[in-house]
Amino acid sequence: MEELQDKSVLVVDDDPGMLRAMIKVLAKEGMRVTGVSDPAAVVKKLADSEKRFDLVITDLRMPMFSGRGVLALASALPELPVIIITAFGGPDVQAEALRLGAFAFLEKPVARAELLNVVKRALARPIREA
Amino acid sequence: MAVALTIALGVVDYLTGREWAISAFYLLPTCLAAWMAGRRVGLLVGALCAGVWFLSDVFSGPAYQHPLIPVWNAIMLFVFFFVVVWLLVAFRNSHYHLEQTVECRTAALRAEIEERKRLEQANVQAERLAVVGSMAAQVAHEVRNPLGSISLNIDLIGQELHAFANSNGHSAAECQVLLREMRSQVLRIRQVVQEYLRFARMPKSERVEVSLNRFLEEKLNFMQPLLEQKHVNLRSTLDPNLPPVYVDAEQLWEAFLNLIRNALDAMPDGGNLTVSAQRNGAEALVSISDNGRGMSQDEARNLFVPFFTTKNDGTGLGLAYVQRVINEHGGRIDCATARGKGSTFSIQLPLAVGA
Repeated sequence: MEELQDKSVLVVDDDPGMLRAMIKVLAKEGMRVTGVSDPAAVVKKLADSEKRFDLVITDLRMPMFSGRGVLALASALPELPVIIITAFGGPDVQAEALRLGAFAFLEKPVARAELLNVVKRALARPIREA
Repeated sequence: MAVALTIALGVVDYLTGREWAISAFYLLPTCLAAWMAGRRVGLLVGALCAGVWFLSDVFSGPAYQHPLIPVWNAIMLFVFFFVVVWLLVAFRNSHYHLEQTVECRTAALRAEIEERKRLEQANVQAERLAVVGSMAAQVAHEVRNPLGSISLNIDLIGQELHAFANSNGHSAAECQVLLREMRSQVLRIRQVVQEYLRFARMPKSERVEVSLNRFLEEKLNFMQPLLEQKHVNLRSTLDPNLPPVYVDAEQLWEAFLNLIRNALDAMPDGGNLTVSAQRNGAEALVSISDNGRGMSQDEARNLFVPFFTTKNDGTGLGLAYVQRVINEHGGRIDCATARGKGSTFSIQLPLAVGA
C-alpha cells in the first residue's frame, strides 16, 4: 500500500465506466489520480509541466487519439512508464505496444489485484535510460 | 489359340496339298499372337507357322528341283512374318501409349477439377469465416469495456464489504460468496470473449520446417499427467521417418490440442486416445482417435460450422478454428464418427518442399 501512496497517475480511457472504476481502485490505494476520458486532453495534461506524473495508464484505441499517440508522447519522457489496458488486444498489438516502449500490456477485463500488481511493478522499476 | 489355329492350318495345308495358296493364312495366327501377347510370342508363333508350313510343304508339296527350296521358302516366310510382327507390335505399342496418355490426362484433369472445387469451397468457407470473425471481434470488443468496469467494481464492492464488516462486527461471508460467484462468471465471459477473438484475429502464421513425429512426441509427453488424471490411455504411433512439414508449430499444436481436448470430453469415464502420424504420398497424415461417445451423422455434418456445438458450455468455435488453421496450412481435415464407438479426426498436411 505504502509504495503507491501519493504517486501521481494519469488514466486515459474513453469508456467512462472503465475510467471511473480504474480511478476508484487507484484512488483507494492513496494515489493521486487524474482521469481523462477525452484523449485529446492527454496532450494538454502531459504538457502541463506543473503536474508531473509517475505513471500513465491508457487504452489503446480511442477516437481522435490513440494509445500509440500517448506512447509516442510518453517516449519523450523517458522516466514515465506507460501501461496499456485495452479491449482491442491481440498478440500483434501487444508486440507493437511493447516495441513502442509500453511497460506492460493488459487486456480487459482486468482484476483489481492484477492492475495494482502491474502498477507497483511499473513504479518500482529502475528508470530507463533516455 | 494362335498355336491351335496354326496346327489346324497345317493340317488343312497337308490334306489339300495347296501350300502356296494357303501360306498367306499363316499370317493370321502370327498377327493374332503379336497383337495379343507382344513381340516375343508373335515371333514364336511366326516361327511355328514357318515350321508347320515347311513340314506340310515337304510332305505334301510338289517335287522341287532342288531339295533346299522348301527350306529357303520357309526362311523367307519367316522373314516376312518377322517384319509383319515387328511393325504390328510397334503400331500396337504406339496405339497403347496414346490410349494411356489420354487416360492419364483425363485423370489429371478430373483431379484438377476436384481440387478447384475444393478450393472454391474453402474460399467460400474462408469468406464466411472472415465475416463471422469480424462480427465476433466487434461484439467481443464491445463486451470487454463494460466487463472491465464490472470486474473492477466487483473487486471494489468486495473491499467495501470487507471494511464494512470489520467496522460493524457483522459477517459478510454470504455476500463474499456471491461476489466470488460473480467473479467466476466474469471470468467465464472473459474466456468466451477470448475464444471469439482468438478465432477472429488469427495472427499470420510463422512457418518453419517441423518434424511432426518429434514435435508430437514432445507435446504429448507434456499431456501425460492430464491424460492419467482423466484415466485416458494414450497410444501413439509416430513414424520416425516422416519427412518434415512446413508449419506454424504453435498454431498447429493449438489445433491438435483442441482435438485432443474434444477427445477427452468425449470420454468422461476414460478410454483410449490414439495419435498417429505417417506419410501418405506427398502428405503427412495425422489422426487423432478416441473411443468415446461419438456423434450422430447430423452432428458430424455440422462439426466445422462456426458456433455449432454439442457441448453445454462450448462456443462452437473450437473446430472451426482447427479447420481454419489446417486449411491455411494447405491441408484438410476430415472426421469419421459413429455413435457409441468414438471419433477419428484425420488431418492431411503437405510435406515441406524437397521432402
